[in-house]
Amino acid sequence: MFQNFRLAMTWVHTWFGLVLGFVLMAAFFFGALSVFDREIDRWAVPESRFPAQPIPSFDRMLRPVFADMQPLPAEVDAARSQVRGAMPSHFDLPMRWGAYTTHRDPVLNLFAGYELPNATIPDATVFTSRTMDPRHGTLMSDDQLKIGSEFFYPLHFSLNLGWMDLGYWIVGLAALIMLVALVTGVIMHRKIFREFFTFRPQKRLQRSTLDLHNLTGVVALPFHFFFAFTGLVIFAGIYFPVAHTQLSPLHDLHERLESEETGLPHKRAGVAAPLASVDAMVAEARRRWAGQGMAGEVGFLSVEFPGDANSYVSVYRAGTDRVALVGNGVHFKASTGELLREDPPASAVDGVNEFLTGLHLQHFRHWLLRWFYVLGGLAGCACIATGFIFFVEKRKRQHARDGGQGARVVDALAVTTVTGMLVATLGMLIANRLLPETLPAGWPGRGDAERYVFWAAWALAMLHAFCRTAPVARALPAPAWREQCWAVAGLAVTAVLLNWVTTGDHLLRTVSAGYWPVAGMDLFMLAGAALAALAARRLGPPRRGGSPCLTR
Amino acid sequence: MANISNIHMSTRTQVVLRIAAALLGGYAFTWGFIALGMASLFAAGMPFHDAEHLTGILAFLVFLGVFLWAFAAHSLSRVWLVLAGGGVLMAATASLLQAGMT
Amino acid sequence: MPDALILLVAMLACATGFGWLALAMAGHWRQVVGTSSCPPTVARRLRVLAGAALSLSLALCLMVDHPSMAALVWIMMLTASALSVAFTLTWRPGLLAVLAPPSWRRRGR
Repeated sequence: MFQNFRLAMTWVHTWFGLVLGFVLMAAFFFGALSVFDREIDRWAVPESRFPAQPIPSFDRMLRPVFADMQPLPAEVDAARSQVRGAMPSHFDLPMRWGAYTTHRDPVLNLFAGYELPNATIPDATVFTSRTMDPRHGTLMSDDQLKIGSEFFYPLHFSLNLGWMDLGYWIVGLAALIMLVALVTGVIMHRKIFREFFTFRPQKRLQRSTLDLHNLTGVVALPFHFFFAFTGLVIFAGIYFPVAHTQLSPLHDLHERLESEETGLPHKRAGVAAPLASVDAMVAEARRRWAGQGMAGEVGFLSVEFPGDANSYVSVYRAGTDRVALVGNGVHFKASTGELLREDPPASAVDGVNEFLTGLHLQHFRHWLLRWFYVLGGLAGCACIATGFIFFVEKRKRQHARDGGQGARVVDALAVTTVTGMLVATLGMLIANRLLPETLPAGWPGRGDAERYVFWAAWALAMLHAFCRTAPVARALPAPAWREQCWAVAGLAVTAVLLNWVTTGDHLLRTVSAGYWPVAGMDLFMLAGAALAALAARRLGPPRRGGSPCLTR
Repeated sequence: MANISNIHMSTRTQVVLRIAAALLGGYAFTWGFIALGMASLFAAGMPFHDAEHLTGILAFLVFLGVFLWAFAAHSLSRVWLVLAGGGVLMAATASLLQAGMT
Repeated sequence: MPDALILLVAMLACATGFGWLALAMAGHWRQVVGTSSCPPTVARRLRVLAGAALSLSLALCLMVDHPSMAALVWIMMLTASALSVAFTLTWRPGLLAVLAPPSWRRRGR
């Protein structure tokens, strides 16, 4: 199909990069935001603006909440298709209780899974979760959307498109193409060492865009490669569910063997039993970790088959001081508190896997490294955005001569994906500040309303982008870029002002109190506003004389 | 054996078939690699989850490699044969190994 | 805090190393120093120094964190400092003149 290897790789880079670039833009941008997802949550949920807390006492605070917990009506409805016959009115067979926190969480996440009776598939479960203020044991409202960890974060790996896991598959394909784009990019780039530090904004737009594309791609190449790669490894079970399909007999064989080996039951006994003091088990686990020179906090706690004779409690250490995720699990028999098992040190493969997943999921405490990750993510966005711009610049004169609309369409989609995405993000944050606590009956919940605003704002940005890129078909720059840059600057400043007006936590207060989650958000948005305004001015109105180049 | 490139085919069809080979053929090959990898490592005594994770890590590098090869190779028919055929062969071998163990 | 200071020094070492690596390239030498090209002996020395500076920054990172984290911090630090050097060369190349002392510029002519 191609005359030579390099041409083939160039074709692949151009066309796969273009098509999947739109998805990758979202993955990189919302991935970068996800580094500070919990800080964004603090901005969006002002009631949670207090310092991070360790896991509270299970016996006094968590157990009563778990005992009363039931799935929400919406969750029951969603699980109806998995049940033959009627849904029970009350779920009495919890499969699992779990509590989860990191060193950055002031609030605690609780979840519970319940067995579905008469299920169409084995082990069908309905899950529900709650958010708790661990200082008082009170539950927070279910309708306060944690915009960081519950919207931006899942957006980056699933586009929040849950139907048939379609979003996961699209992002997965995009991640594979990212790897392809990096390798083909290196193959195409003839002067990768000589041009390592090269950026010449004074040259023609096409050349300077290519310079920036190469620069942001190459200097952050390890980052881009590792994040795309580890993202794929993390979801390997979704993309290649071999162990649950073709090799499920092997998987079941292993479960039986492992159960015998570890002494951890994998089925309930069907006999009721009490729950001993979990606090005592946690204390014992922490004592054991300290004894091995790994003193630490609890990151994850779970109770399997609560109330059953086979129930066991697992306590995992929060991985704040190293890259590997939560680990060093200690397991206790739930009815007596007797130690069942201490997880052995990780095997070599386990170690590699934990390092790769931990690198991506970042439970560690290291503020510099987090900011470096944001830098990497934004470099990825710059790489993709300059890729689009280069594509358009290279072809728009030819398309203008031929009367084609290709360059114009790509430019409009690029505006939608780059500045439009920022408009949607800021629009959602503004809605978060403006919407009342509870909306009138018949309206969607507050969290849902915020989601609708996000998608609506993005759709509007897309409409604007398509309307205001007509000049590209005449090989001229599109005013859409400049206009959306001004919009971004305005929206960002508005969001910061609204935070001040609605919560009183203005920058002087948050900075002097050292409350960095909110101060950081406001400062980041103001810096973004400044950059957007600078870009808008640089993109200024066309010169008299209609030069097709940007003003410089 | 007929060589696909000898058959007259529009460029568009060729492009579509290449892309399909890279994506679908690549997926099939990778699936086969994972299945065979997991089954043989487990049969050789490696713990199940270790086998799962190791093949999972290698799989995406394999997919990357065959994806690029699908576009670099001259013969489209060979690409289909190796990727789809190889995938099926590896998967079948994995099932045979599994049958021997369970 | 000493940790923050050590990491700052590590970052400066990285930037210095990349600055030297850039200077060893003819085009960037011209941008910073103004003379036609970097004498080959000086270019060799600059690359050796660059290697030393980057190794020093890795060692400093290892002083601060668990090795698994230090490796990541260092790799990302390379990215951040390479970008800084690139943008300095674009907009303020004169700032890097400090990395090429006059005595080196005359050598090998």
